[in-house]
Amino acid sequence: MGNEINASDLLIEVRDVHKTYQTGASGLEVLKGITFQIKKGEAVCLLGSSGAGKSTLLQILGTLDRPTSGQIFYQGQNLLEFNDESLAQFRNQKMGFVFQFHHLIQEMSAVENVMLPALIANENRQEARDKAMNWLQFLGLGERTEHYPSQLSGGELQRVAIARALIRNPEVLFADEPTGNLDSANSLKIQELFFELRSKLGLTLIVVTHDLNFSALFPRVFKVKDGRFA
Amino acid sequence: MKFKFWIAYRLLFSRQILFGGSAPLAFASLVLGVAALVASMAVMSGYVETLKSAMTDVTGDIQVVRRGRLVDDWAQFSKKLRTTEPRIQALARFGYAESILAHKGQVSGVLFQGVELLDLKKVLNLEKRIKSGALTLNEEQIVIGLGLAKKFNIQVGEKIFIVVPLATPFDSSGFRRQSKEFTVTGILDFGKNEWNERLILGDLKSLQGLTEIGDRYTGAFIKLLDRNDSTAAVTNLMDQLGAGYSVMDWYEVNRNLFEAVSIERAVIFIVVLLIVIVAAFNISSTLYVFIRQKYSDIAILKALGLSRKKIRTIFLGQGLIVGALGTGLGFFLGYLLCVGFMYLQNHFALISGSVYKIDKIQTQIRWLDLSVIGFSTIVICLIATYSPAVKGSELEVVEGLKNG
Repeated sequence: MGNEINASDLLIEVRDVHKTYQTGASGLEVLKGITFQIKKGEAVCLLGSSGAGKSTLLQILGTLDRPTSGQIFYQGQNLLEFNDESLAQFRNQKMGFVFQFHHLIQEMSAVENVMLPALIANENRQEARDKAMNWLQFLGLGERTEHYPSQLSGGELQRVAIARALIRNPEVLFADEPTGNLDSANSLKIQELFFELRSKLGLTLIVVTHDLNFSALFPRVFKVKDGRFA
Repeated sequence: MKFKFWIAYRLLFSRQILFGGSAPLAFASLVLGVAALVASMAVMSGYVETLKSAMTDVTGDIQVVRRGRLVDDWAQFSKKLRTTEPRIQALARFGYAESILAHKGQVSGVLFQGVELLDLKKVLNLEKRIKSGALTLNEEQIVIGLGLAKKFNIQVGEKIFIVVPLATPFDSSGFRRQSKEFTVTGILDFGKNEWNERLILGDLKSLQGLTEIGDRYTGAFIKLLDRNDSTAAVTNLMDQLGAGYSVMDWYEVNRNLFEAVSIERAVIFIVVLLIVIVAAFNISSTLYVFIRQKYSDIAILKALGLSRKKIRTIFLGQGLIVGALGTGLGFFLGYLLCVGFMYLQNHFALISGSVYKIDKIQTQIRWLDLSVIGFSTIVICLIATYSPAVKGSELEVVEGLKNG
């Protein structure tokens, strides 16, 4: 399925990845031998209907889950050989995540939520705060920095989540149905924002969606059906 | 580390935790447990200290008594004591006799103790125990205990009779009596209930006159340069003076009581600590529920780069914060309980003097007790939070994101 990519441009390589969930005595095979490559700066869409396995694949690519078998390489490094500590550090340094539900911590203000990845990386508190403020400003939330998630709208929450994903300047931004919970106006704004960010920051973008209009914006789309690329 | 505590703090002090569910109740029970520990230890320490203070105020650091017979020469004896034990600061000789107090048709058995006031003031701290009148003694004057004054309704300035029975040398079945009228110049709180109801202090010459013992006396009260040397000084004096003398310090005089109190203190500590342990289990179960409610937050923190170990540290940090706060508030509440106890004690007869030897005690909050209570509470809270912390750290990110 994947095009051949020069080794120097290669960012992520997935080789024959299977994922089976044990449900009682039997197993439910969600991914059935996925193989593909993604190059640096690419914008990739994983498209498919609900239950096709696209979110599971994104979680495995983002090291949030482990495959039952197969291999995943990131710039030549086998991610499955990492221990929990180094994998957590790797995620913090290289990857940003945006989910369908914003998953912001309710007890923290917008700026505190955005600061989290920087603080996890032991960055200076004031510097982390300044960076978070800049990102919120950049995303049009300069007036909402001290607001709590319960005081923000759906679109604003998702933009805070995007700021949180970007504060560590990741190489890859993973987004799982990022517009799935938004109205069409906010949905369009977020879609535009992703591509604006990609062009400005040179991000590699991997997005899961079932929205055909959104997927049409991507130069490269993988259709996932029954755990395989269709 | 700072960051992990910050997260622990922010998650812990959410409105959901502070104002909802069982968390405030679990925390309150921890505070109550710590307060109960502080108050009970303060009362136990205060009891020992009050008793110890009464002992040293009224009998000195050490008491030396000649066994079986009286001592003759004070100059020689005091010199011998000072030579034997260089840690002695001051000495005062005393004598005593079982006597009968008679006042307005009532009689009671008392212990009449004769002392030399000038020497005595250098050894004992009786001045601070004066409740009314003054500590002045001549051959016609005496001071009595608070209990005795209440029992006979004796006021300062009133006269009482002291009667001393004396054996008749040639008739073992008979006795004769010597009596003398004295003016009460002071009423003292001797500290111990039995002393307050039995002890009378008079001039040594009066006692010697009533008991017809000449210039002889029973023994000596000793004040040491440092009270903490009393055990070593007792051992030294016993070795040097031999079996003919009884040498006891304040601890030895009430050894059984102090040992019993020490055991009681340990038992009470363990029993009351059970409240803290139960409270910690409540906190543990609350934390389990909290972690279940926070699956989504834990998952996102992991996705953002927190490892299992760090998640575990965050929840253990919560245990530490809860333990430290519970300890701090418990200390404060314990202090208030002590103040309340002292207030009630000043207004009502809480303690039976006949049972506990003293009818009023000070509460004493000691750094040692606070350290042991604080350390135990924090360790118990950490142990109680360990299991939920491990459970939280083992959560799979995908599960958390789904359930969040």
